[in-house]
Amino acid sequence: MSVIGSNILAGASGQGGAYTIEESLRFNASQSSYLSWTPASAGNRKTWTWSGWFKKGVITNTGCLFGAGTTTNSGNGVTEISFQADNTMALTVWQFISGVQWRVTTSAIQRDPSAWYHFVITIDTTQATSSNRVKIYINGVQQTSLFYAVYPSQNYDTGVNATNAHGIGRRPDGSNLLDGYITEVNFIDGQALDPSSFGEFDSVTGVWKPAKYTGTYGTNGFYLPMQLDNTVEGFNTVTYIGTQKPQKISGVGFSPDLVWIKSRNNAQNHTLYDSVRGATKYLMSNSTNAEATDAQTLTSFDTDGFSMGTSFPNDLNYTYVAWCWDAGSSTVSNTDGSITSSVRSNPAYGFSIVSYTGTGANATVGHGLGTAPSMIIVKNRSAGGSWMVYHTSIGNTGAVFLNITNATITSSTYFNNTTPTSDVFSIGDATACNGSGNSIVAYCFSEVAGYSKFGSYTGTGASGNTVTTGFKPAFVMIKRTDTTSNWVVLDNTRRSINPNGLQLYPNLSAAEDNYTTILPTDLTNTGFTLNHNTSNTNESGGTYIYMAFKDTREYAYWLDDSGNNNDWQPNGGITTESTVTDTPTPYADGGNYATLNPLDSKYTPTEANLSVVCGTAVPRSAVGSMFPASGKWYTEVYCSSNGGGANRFIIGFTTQANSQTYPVSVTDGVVYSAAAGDLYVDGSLTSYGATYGQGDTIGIALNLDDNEITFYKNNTSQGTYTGKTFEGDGYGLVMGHGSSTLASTYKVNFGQRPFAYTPPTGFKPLHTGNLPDSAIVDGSEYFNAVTYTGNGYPTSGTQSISTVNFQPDFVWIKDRSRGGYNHFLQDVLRGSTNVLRSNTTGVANTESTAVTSFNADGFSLGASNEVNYQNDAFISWNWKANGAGVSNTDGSITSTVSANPTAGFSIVTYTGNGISGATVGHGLGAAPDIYIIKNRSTTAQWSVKYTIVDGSLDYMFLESTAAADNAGETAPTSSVINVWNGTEEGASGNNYVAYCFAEVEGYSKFGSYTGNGSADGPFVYLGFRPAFVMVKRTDAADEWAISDGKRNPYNVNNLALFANRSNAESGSQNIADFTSNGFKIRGAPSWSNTSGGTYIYMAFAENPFKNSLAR
Amino acid sequence: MYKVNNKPLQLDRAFTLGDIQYPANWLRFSSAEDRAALGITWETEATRADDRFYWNGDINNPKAMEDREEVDQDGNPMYVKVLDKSDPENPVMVDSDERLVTKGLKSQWIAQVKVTAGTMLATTDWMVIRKAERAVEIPADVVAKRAAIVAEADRLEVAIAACADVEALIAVVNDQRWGD
Repeated sequence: MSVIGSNILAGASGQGGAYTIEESLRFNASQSSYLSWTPASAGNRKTWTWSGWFKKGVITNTGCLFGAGTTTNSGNGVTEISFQADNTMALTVWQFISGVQWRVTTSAIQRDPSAWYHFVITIDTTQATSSNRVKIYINGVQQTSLFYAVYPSQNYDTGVNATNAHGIGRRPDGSNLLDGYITEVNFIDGQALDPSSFGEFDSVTGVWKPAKYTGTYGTNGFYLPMQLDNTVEGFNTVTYIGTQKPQKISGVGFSPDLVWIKSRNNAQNHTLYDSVRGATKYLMSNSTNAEATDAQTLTSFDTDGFSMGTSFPNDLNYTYVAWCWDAGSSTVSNTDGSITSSVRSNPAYGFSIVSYTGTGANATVGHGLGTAPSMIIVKNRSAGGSWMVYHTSIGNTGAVFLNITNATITSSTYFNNTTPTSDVFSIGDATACNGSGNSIVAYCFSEVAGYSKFGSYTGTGASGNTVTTGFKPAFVMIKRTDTTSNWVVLDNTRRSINPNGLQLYPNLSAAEDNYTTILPTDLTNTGFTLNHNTSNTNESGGTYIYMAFKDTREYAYWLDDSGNNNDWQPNGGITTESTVTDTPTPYADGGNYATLNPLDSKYTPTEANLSVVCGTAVPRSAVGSMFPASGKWYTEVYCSSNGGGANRFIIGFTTQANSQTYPVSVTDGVVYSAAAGDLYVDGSLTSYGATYGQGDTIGIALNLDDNEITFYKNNTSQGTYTGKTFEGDGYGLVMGHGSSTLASTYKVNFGQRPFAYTPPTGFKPLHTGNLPDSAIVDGSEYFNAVTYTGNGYPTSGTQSISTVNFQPDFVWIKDRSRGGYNHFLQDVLRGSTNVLRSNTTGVANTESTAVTSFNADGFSLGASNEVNYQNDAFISWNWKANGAGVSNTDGSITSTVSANPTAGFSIVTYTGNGISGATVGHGLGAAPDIYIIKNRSTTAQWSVKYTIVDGSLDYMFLESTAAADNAGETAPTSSVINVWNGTEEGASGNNYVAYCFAEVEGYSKFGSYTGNGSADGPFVYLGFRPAFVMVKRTDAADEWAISDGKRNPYNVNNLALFANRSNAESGSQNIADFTSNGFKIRGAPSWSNTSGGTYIYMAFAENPFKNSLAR
Repeated sequence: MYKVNNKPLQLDRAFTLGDIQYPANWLRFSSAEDRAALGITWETEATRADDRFYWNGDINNPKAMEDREEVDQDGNPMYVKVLDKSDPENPVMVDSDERLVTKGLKSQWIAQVKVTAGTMLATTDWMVIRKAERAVEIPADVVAKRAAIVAEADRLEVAIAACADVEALIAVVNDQRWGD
């Protein structure tokens, strides 16, 4: 059932503001990142809907967005939503059982990595019509152009919703790892919904955007918002991967006071840090060692986590878990006991950290909780010794020890045979808890009903031994007390689903054991159930103590937030740090972030486009995906590896035009070289700062507003450079590798993850939420292309085209399906019936049956065979100027001008005076970058003049393939263009029309690029998603080629028309991909991409990059 | 889609009727009676025909299958025009000797098949070069895959050339078997 609008959308237009997605989950194929889940029972295998937002990482990655089934040759086989593995990289949904059973693949190719896609896959095999059984929607639009369209048979049971493994980010059979970002995943069991349940068109920009799904989910439905709860109470667990470089570990949800870290995949000591002893000081639970200090270990406790230095426990590619407790906000002196203590306490969550100096004699120590602790863990910081543990179930006569396996040992020297009170706990004279003059720390836990539990149980040696805590535990630590055994810790972050069994041992440095199968334990909503028989946790008759803390997170990237609790399990490289603020909805603290741009880089970025290895191959560079022209921006680049050789890192900012240039040679930019610490400013060497190398983090603060750039080496400023004027189209990150046979490896952070160091005041991370708003947020209000089908010649049919959405002032029409018919150009100043043809030199003439009028929302057509041939397909490109013209006396020739400075477009008519160097006012208030002049009175070439290649005024002719030449004339100013006295521009008494275009940031751009002769052609950054692009080679004869997003609504664009030819449309050659921020040449026809050829382009926007989705 | 005066109205976009501006959420939350009062009607959208085969998504307007030598409305052959500047003061477009040909779907799809095959083969072309230059054998599975790609391209080209109409061509195009 397709239910348009039946599910009311929270946050939809008019319902109280935009719906914001704050985070996404980064899937790193090189770290085997994926989520997994197996339904407990089968759902509706015939009817379901999957909706998710996706941002592409590695371009050629064809990874699995969602899949089910582990066996490709039997049973339910594998059902998968992924990208086609052949050349297309197109979104596909298919079923495989010993061969492809059915497959639907879009013709649209998804290889735009700079913004977000919205995908909706709707399956309903009950439909009688085969094409209704599988529907694919991209950015709210159903894909009816399909590369493969082999549909399932009616009532086919897919593998999805069967009781087999399901995966996000990897096919459950272990293949097809995904690289990119995913967020806002909704899976609806039993309903076939269209995108209107998950999104809407923005009422201002017209761009498809997310909306909160509020319908029902069905039994196996789930909702994964892919974000962390940033306001957790009391206790939380986070995971991270070591980088051996400074990194902030966030996502704790509070500022932790006790952080207990353990490597999961390697034998390594447990390390405990607390805010009372201070950062950089650690104790090891599996060791008797005294406290140690390392300036490069945990370096600070932060608002939402903690920071790691370059040392243990932050070893490269080690996976870590950190258990974190909140002990309140201040440390105070406590005199409740006989020993004065320093106490940081959080009575609401029953936890305090107590620091005191031992006396060597029986004593009491204030703990600040206000209720008696149920468990106390004590460690002598000054001297070696065991970790002494008091537990209420053991009583006050003995203790167990965290670092060893012993059963309870009885001694009055431990806790002085005295039970803790609401104010103090007692200690005997044991060195471990009361060494004279020794610094001691005690972690005190009191039970908080519904949040923490400290109890005991008896082992049964059998499944089903249930321990009730009264809440869903996030953390359980168990110790057998009647005989020797290891301490065991389970948590629901490392393993979010049951059965659990990922065991770590506080008394051992051993890596994590995966005992989910042989020693399964379920963490339930009310406690935990031991379903095994083992001495450590559930041997028959054994006595066990435990501590447990509630999971207070309301959501997490693996938690189903639909209400069904169909929670997923993170695997591989998925850690807390995989959540990033890169999202499809720009907002104050996030949005679509810059990444490395594989379309514009010599080297292929990996790790969801945040890592790259640069070698010596020309052009040696990797560049970012955003080039802001103003603002203050901060970016960090970690120099991960020098390949074992000298440090040849090069990092800086340059223009996109320099993206293919060796970084030290860029003609417009500043880069910082590692080898000598020099700067290269516009290619010239300038002495600057310190050398740097492998292991260093380089922060770059780029102040485009004040022409300043500052490089920081590991947070130390190397000085603010002010000798460069940053101007023009904008600057983006560039990195490269110097003259060495090895390579430089970089990890980039534009701010989607917490920066290693705090950015300087006023500097922002580079994401769309921080980009300035463009003057034009919906390009279709000023330029719009429409298609229509002729209904005139040879009949007398006429029609009105009413989908332009504004009254056009300049209309350019071409018959797409029939060759030999001219391009028709009409404008408001000449009148709608006055026609010029771009592919001829002919005079303007009146065609009373062509465009007969310009209307409020389009134009009307007569029965002309040139613009309304029956059943022929036509394209109309329409620009908005400013209606009927006004007189303009800015130039030496008085002109009539219809000018739209907002859109940088004006139509100008004038009469030549035969004087070379005459000037004509254009009304734009900014110098046109390109203008096109046509003599209306006599045959003459179309003069196209521009300054966009080298700043000088060059010219070509629109009806001609001829190469460009220098005009040798004065460039236009903000008020006039210069015309010479030839027939093309200024013959005395001849009438002329000129179309003038000046760039408007985010809406139009006119520039040049150099071809490379490859299907992996040049990338051109526009700062917007183009609607129209016309290109022309300037250094040799070739065509004026036009492509647009209306005739080619998806990539790859392959429908060329040529302004200088009457040919029909041809679709046999790939031209380019339009992307959210520019276009990428995807073919090598001579008219767009001859190696070494120079090309100019004119481009107009659908939407600025800030608001655009991927295409 | 909603229409008024035969013009489509987009959900979530403001629109103007007469002198009245209606907010972006009006269509979503208005009643059927409200919409009827303004003359707004609902028309179920026909599924857009595949633009690769049909002009403007119109199932009744298929693109031409065969290459077509263009003629003018009087039936005279048309030629590619070129610029004649022999009289600099009167540059004109004149016919060349080249007939103006509009490529049909068959030509375009055969070209596309060649592009697809070429792109797929390109990923292992280096192995062919390596064998030629250094006599390093190409793995058997790669040899087989390359042969399969070439065979599929050949099959498709023959099948496309044999198509009698657009429906037949769509069937061929939708059943490409380039492998998994």
